[in-house]
Amino acid sequence: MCSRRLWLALALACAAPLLSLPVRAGALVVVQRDFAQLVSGAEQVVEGTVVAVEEAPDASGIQRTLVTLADLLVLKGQVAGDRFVLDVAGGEKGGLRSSVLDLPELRLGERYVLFVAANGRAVFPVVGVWQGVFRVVRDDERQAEVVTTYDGSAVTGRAGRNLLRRRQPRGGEKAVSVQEFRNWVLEEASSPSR
Amino acid sequence: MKSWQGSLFLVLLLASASPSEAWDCIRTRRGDAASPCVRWRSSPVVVRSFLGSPPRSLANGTRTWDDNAVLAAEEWNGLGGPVRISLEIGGTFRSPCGAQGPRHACDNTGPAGDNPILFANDFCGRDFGDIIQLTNNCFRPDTGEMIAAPVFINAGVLWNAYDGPIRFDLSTGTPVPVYDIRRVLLHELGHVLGLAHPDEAVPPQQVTAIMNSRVSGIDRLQPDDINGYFSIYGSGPPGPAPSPSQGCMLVAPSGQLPAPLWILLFLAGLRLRRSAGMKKTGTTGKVQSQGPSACRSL
Repeated sequence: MCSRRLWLALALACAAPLLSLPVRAGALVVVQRDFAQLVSGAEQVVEGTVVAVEEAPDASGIQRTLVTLADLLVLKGQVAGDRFVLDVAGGEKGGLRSSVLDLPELRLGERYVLFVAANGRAVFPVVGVWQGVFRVVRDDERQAEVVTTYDGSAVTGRAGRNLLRRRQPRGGEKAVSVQEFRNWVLEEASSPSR
Repeated sequence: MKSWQGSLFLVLLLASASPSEAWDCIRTRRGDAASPCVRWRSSPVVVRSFLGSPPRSLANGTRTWDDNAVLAAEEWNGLGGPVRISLEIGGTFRSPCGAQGPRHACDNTGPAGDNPILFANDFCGRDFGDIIQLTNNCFRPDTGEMIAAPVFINAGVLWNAYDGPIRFDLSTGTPVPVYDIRRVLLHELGHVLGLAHPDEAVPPQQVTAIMNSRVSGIDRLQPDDINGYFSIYGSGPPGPAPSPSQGCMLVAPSGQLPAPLWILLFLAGLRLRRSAGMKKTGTTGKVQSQGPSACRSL
């Protein structure tokens, strides 16, 4: 009996690839936000290149990580000066590191568009956490800067309040240029409904 | 179990895997996929749940939030691996919030080995923003030893406990997500054990996993999560991190398989393991392996 069940399971396992579809899956970590919510929820939308990642204690002695962006374009809200410092919880102190795993990592030298809210007051001051972090990357083939999501999916268009994104763009699809993405932000921010 | 059946299962498992995609772990150097995984050096890892009870029973039939913490811990312990979670309900609560010092191993953790799970309105004074729960892992970057890992659950969102697709509260006219505490705790206990998000790895991995950072109907451990656990801890007693060559066959670099195939292979593997002697003991449902480990039983 056991042997028969095992064989049945193995037979089904062999057939499974024929029946299955790609699965995008995961666990719950953050509240889902669409593009319109990213824009409306952001106090600032900034595009910039990470030029420094430093750790320093706040007023209560709690270590935090300060990510400095330069070469700024401010698409929504106001930023004092020509640099923007994102204040993120966590850091290393006394030979020990405290790390909140659910937070995106902004890397030195990379360029991002960030939908910022509650900077210095929130654990990770970006709307939707990773959802409000977009990378600006060079598309050598098109000789242009294009936009991807934090996890590297190409942003290929808009559909209503949402962005279209593809892990691997299909024929004819392309990641949007950063200029087009900026325009979307500006349009959404100036929309009367916001 | 006949040895040829186990061999066939193993051959199918390995033949189906491709080396391109896999779990991820908390690294001693963040963003450096070559650096070692952070891990506990002794077992059990004591986790204390201070979640308490809702006004009425939960949708999955449990009566308390803490019951769901127990269920999540049981699922990890059910793997029969070398590092278990000892889930205790209540006890002495030490606030994890505060600067590093005698009562805080790291900023905003308790002392070493103190791993509370609590509902909170913020993370030690910082707004959760859109985060619904987080684990603050405290570790030694030089040795990779995990020191403490409190889990904060956002009290400002709707919670229940249920299996299957994400549910929504429609009472206000606008759908508001109602989060399943059990699967969220399953995810966070994965962080407590040292697992990270495969979809935020460098490079990002596309796998079916409870440890992904994205929303889905996944509510149980997936083969990728299990591979991650055994790759961090191996199948022997806890100690220094194993070198890649020391992993057992089950924890060889995993690939992306269609989910149904993974699940079926996993179920077949569980069946073989069960026949090798797994026993459920005690009222807390902790599972202890009485026979060969998952790897060796293959």
